[in-house]
Amino acid sequence: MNKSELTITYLINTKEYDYHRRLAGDFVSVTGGSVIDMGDETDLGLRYHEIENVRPDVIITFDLAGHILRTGNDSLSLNNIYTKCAHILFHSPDHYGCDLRARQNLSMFTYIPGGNDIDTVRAEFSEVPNIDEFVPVSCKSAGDPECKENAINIKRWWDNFCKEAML
Amino acid sequence: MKLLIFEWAAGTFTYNDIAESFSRHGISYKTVSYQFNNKNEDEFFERRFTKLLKDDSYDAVFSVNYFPLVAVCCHKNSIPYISWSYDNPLDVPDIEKTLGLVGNHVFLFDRIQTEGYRRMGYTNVYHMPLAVNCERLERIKLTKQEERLYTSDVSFVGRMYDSMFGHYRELMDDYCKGYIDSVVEAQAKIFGYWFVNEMLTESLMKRVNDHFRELQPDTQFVLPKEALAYAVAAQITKNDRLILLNLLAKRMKVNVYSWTNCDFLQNVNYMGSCDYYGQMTKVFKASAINLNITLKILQSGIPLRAMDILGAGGFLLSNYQPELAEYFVDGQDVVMYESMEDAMEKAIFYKEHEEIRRRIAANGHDKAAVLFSYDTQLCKIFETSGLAF
Repeated sequence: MNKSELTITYLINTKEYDYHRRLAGDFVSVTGGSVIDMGDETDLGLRYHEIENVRPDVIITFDLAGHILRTGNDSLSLNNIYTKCAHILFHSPDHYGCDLRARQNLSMFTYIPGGNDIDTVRAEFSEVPNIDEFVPVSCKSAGDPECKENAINIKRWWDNFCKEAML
Repeated sequence: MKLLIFEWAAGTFTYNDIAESFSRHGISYKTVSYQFNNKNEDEFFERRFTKLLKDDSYDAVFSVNYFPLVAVCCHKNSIPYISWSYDNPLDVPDIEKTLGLVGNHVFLFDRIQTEGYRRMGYTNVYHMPLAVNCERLERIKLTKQEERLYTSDVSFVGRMYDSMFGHYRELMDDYCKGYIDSVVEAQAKIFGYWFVNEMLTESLMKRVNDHFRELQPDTQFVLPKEALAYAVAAQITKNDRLILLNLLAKRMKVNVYSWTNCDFLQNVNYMGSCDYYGQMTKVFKASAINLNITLKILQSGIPLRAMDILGAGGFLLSNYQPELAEYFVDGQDVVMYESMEDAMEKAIFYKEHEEIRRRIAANGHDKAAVLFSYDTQLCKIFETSGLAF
């Protein structure tokens, strides 16, 4: 399948992270796709069905925004969707507490910010199947000089992710 | 020993109890999960799972239920693969292509199903009844409020099955419709013997599929015998469940716990679904009678639901199952019925005789605890597979 034909769904949470909306815009401009805000008041069951019905080829979450969706046994609901998934973290792994330890499918990839020792993180979170370092993407507001390289870096990451996920 | 556990993405009922047993025996393990779109073909999975196998050193791969691509990866990497299924049928198309792979050790809880595969030459398929973690279930206590909520004369936890039978039947010619209706009618009356597979002959399946193509010349669809057999089983089971629950509800309080309500249930209290690891055990403990109405295609084995009831110390009223009768004494450890009338009579009798009921439930629980602990069954599984436990 051509990358441009992929159905891509972003899961963000603007209630907890105010930079998600702006960053989602940066990502969508590179990859295309639609954005679902898990931070609004929509019933989570309905949210899950909404995501499932889209039948996304790729789900991209920021700061584990999709981990709020759980099954009756408290496992990740996203595991039940046949899709490739990228969890992009903008904070160090410790920030996410036990959420990061929830069992993830083999088709999920977790990206942590640079500056963390990747081998140490992989050892500490040995149950997380695919951990890699994320390209530098700034969460700061659009005008900030740090954001200048965002599009280039996102594109670089996206190409690499598609290769890894065999998309 | 170090294991890699492959777990179906949606989770499996027995995983936690199995993992607990592994930990108790000092077996280290790593668990990975995946959601398949096609259980027989998935290049991404094969590549990633193989990488996992190569990145570390595992003595074996273990899974609840059987996954052909796990078998393929293990075979290619010369790592033993042990699977223990609580699903029946296994829902794996073309299972014959991988079942016999060297290094595969497949454990099924239904003896007749196992013997069927062994007769086909798959000597690496073994019979292993399911297990129950009585200690965990004993720790689950009910509050006064929960007792009020879950108490009933009869409880049933299970699916009401949406069968494809009606759809398949609609596409048959008149002869096949008559034939299949007769098969369903006859099988519905028989408890403890499943003869539908024998009745769905090659010539019948050819006639069914030929007629499909007459109706829709462009169709690529071919109805496999297994799919029709399952549809028949689901249809009969659904009818069994509806009939018995409705009959019982005329005489006593009946609670049904299921994912979906069924319009055909009358006077039955639909209680929604209940979670496996907590509520279900409470339901079994609080109910005077716990019904087990087995999926008809399950020919001899003791289904997980029956084990769950026994382990919780609940009183089990089940349809006749050969292996249940083999390990448990009818009327002493469990109670089995052989017809709807028999089920009704027994339910009415045991509802009124609490002391006898309690004694039978205690006997069933104690026997299940001794015969079917996870430690015991897993030890047998690993020994059979040539690995120490």
